[in-house]
Amino acid sequence: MVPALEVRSLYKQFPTQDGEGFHDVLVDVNFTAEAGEFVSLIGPSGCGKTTLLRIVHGLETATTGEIICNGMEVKKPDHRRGLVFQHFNLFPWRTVVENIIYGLEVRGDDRGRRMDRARLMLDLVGLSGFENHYPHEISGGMQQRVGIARALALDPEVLLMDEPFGALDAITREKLQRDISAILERQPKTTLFVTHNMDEAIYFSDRILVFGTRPGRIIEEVKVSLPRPRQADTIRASQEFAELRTHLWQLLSKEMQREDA
Amino acid sequence: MKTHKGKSYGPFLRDMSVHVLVLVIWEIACRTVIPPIYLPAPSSIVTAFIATAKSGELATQLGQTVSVLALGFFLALVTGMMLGVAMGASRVLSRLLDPYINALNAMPTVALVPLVVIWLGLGYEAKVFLTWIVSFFSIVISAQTAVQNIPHAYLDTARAFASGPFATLNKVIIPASIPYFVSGIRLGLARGLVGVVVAEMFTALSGLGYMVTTYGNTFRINFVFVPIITLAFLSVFLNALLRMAERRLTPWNRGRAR
Repeated sequence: MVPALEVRSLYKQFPTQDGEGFHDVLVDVNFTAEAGEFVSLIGPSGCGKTTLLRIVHGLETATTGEIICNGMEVKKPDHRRGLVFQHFNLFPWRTVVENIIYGLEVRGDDRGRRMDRARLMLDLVGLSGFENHYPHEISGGMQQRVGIARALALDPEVLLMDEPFGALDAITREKLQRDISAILERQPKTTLFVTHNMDEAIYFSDRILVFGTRPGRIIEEVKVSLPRPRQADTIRASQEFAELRTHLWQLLSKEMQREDA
Repeated sequence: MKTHKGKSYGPFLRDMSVHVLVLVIWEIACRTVIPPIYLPAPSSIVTAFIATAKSGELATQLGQTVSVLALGFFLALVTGMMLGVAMGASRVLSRLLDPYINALNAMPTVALVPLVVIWLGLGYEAKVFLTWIVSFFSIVISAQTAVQNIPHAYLDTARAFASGPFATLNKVIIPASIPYFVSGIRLGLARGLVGVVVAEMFTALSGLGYMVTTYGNTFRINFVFVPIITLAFLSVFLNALLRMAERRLTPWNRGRAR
């Protein structure tokens, strides 16, 4: 089977501050995601995981290497991948429903189809009744649900999420995690998920790619075989969760010690 | 005493009584110490208002001023926005034109009157042109600044959803800039009003500027106050209209921190 997403020997360099040379941000990154698989990228800040996600989306270009999305090479953003931002990035001049259909408008979907998709998405993320609110009138958690609906409205082949809970308080975060888990149960998607939260990574993922820093690279691939559907509370109380968490922590703390040295 | 909104009449009555008191003192001063050639009494201004309103002169001249202002300002709005957005979007264009636009904006453009008369004569076109040029530059600069300062996140999002240049301009850059256009439009409108009156006084006499000049030259000071007060009200009215348009255009901006 062709994987939904394939990243092949990807390297990314940024120019150094003095403009003289380059430093490595990502080195020899290789991985695949099967259709319907949930893959997390976890690592200390500055390991290049957000850069990798942006490259996969096409917002940034790799120095060398390839991104293949269902057999087609990614060169720039298109509507086959949906991106969810850490800071929501909703347009404040558009209502909830207008934000959700933004991508559909750009794609040129006709009005009837836009409205059908919008209704479906509002229902999916539980925002029916809020369609005519402006972003500043709803809570952060609701705003991020709009962000997710906007990405899913395009029915993308791959969903990319960049620390989608990163800008939320702990309680909202917990609630939204459960909501998104339920959304993805109802509408399974191949998902690439950037986080630095270990619990989150275990709860959602089929596979976790652990990143090391300086340069950013995959140091280990951790499989999560906890059964689905997952209940947040029972999962966290399980033996396997605890073992995975310990293992992830050992990997990440070793990486951070290396950096401190 | 309370209104239906639960507001008290107290402050309103207090403020009004102060205004009335000022008018009364003004009236008394004019009738006793101030010669009417320096400052007319409020009652004689009212008389002048009634006279010019009855003869139809006020309405005619106001109509002329408004028609020049409307066309000149409308042209400034359209051309100013177009050039401003283009300059905001293109680094090359803004680098090329910035020195000229800034210099012309800083210069009192009413000094161009003699040139405009040579180019366009003394008629309607010259007046519209003067109104246009006086309000144009502040509109250009505000539109340019608004576009240049669009938060990067909006453009990043536009790109992430594969928006082409036209969709980005239409659906992101322009709506994001509207609240910031407004300050320049307000300034442009205020300047435009100055432009009309100057044009009416220094080209063929017409409109409210004509009334100011003619009555001033004949020392009918109470009549001079008629166009002056009308201009003040016109300015306040247009600003209120602008604020209303702004609220209509940016319902999403209501109650947000600016």
